[in-house]
Amino acid sequence: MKKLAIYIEDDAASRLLLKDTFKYYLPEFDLLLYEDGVNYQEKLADIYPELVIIDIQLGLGPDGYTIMEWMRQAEIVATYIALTAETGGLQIFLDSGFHAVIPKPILDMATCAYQIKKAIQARTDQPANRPG
Amino acid sequence: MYFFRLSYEIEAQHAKNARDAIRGFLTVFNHELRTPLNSIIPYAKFLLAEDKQHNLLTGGELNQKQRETIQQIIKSSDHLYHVINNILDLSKIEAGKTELIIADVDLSALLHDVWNTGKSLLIDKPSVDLNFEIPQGLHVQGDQTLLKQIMLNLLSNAVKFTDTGMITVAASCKNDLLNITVADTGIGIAEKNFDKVFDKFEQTVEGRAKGGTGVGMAISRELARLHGGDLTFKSIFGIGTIFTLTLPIGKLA
Repeated sequence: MKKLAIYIEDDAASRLLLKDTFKYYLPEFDLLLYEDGVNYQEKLADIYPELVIIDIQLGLGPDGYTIMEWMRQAEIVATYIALTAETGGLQIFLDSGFHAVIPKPILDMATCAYQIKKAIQARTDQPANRPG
Repeated sequence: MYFFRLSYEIEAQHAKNARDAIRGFLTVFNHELRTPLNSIIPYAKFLLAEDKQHNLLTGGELNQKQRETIQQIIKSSDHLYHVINNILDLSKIEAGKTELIIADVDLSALLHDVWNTGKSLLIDKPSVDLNFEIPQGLHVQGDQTLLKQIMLNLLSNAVKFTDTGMITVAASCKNDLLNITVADTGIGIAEKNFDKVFDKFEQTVEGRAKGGTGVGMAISRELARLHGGDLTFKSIFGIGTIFTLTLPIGKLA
């Protein structure tokens, strides 16, 4: 049985890119795509992903930080990754509760897949240090 | 008296408007110009992927002309990506939005990372040797990411302008200052062009020919100065160039 991942992203080209990245480099996951947090929240009760990737600067509804907070409050235990073009310090994202940050633009699918795997590995190696 | 207060308030409002405009520009520039590269660069690289699984996308092996065409897309997109990043960096610096995250930086380790990157930059230049003379245990107070950015700029600049000979990175301490030098045996800079080195978007003929953006050194010097240091250079045309990054060893305020 495949593991479940979700990606919340308002940019269609970015969604397509992650879809292909998962198809070719992370086939162990089923990836669900959402355009914004509003549409995701409607499904919240039914979906318990192991991996959550969120764009921070979303066009509609809440931003990536808020969505992550919702999910944590819903006790969804997952690896949370911020995928963002924001160029602020990495620490800001980690302090907010994300386990890792992947900067946009993604320049290479294989590298992106490696960063995702590394984030999952780092979280599962240190379960006591990071909630969720 | 009322006139002067009004005048002050108008000026303050203008300054605020200018700051807001710069902030808006940075947000739009960052998001709207970088995001399209999110498709162009990775998909172009994907088309060049070697293994059979990914060749399914192209229906089999690419011929030489197809490969060269895709490589040209990647090269041009990479250049555009660096130009956008440089403009963003410079805009941030000029708007006073570059925030230094100051911590103790293990400079020896940082330079070791830079050395590894330098080796990969020299893959296509077998006639250039890379020599690192960095003692262990060098520490400085600074922003690790920005210091690394300065060093990568200096090293990639040296690689760009050196086709044979040696690039040497060395460090020494003197009077509470740390000097890191990047010396190359490249084409050097003509004296008449010295003023252009730190000018924004000014390029020498040689720089343009090598595909530079004309802003890397300006950014590096600004970042050095944000650290309370400086970036200087000496060069002899046809012989080579030495850039010196100077950083205060004492704690930054």
